[in-house]
Amino acid sequence: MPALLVGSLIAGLALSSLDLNGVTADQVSSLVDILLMVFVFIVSVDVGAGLDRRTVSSLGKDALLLSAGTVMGSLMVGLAFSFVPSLGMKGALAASLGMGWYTLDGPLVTASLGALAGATGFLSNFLRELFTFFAYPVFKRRLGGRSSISLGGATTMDTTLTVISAVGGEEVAALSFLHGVIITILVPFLVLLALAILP
Amino acid sequence: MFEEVLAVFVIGILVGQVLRMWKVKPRLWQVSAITASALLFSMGLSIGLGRGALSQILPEAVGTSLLLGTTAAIAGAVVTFFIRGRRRD
Repeated sequence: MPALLVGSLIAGLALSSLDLNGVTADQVSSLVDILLMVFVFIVSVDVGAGLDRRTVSSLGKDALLLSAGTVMGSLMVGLAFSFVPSLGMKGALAASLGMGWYTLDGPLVTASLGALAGATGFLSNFLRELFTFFAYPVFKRRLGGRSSISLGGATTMDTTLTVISAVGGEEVAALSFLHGVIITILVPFLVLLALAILP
Repeated sequence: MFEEVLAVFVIGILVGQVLRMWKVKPRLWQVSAITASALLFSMGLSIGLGRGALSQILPEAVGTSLLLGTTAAIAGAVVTFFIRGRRRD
């Protein structure tokens, strides 16, 4: 299953190098949005049909623990990268605290710190998402399916939910979505806080 | 986008709960796999088509971004693993 998913991603990348009669990235992005909604609906029906009250309450606690780990990990790496001259503490933390949400982090950092830091914010979060597609099955064997959800940051409620639900099963998929929701709520606050208060 | 995805998820959960009350067990694994493949195929296509624009925004950011993005992902998973008492579930 992970091979099929990664293969689909690679096939799409390969097809984009051919002449597609004027098909643009924006047009395909609209299709991605629609398919994302369909996918989230299918996964959520599956999750909803398999969940009882006891499971939800235990998943809620675990989702908070996972989110705390995700934020702490990103914070530590942001501080470690503060020594990169082109970023500084503000740029490094604003990029790392994007936690996979590149469409938000890139523009926010660009507006505040300029093109180079903005490009780093965009690319680092975009690459985090891509990395999760390939790394989740490997990390699941080492750290377990639940802890490895933190790899994906905010993307675990949408795009990387594909790999996580396929490899981890429906209960891990539900936890992954809850984690993604919590991180998605936190990202705008944390990035703006980093940009606003740091020197 | 966040609000829409959240709304769809909540509606899906409610539909799933209704099916559960009617004791219907949906077998959506294959539909989910096909949709996921189509989604990732489109995403790959979208990324590939946007590559021209990406390559124009300061190639020197790529090395730092690769390290920052992957390290942040790994650090998140490792910290979570320890916070959860090194459970491999």
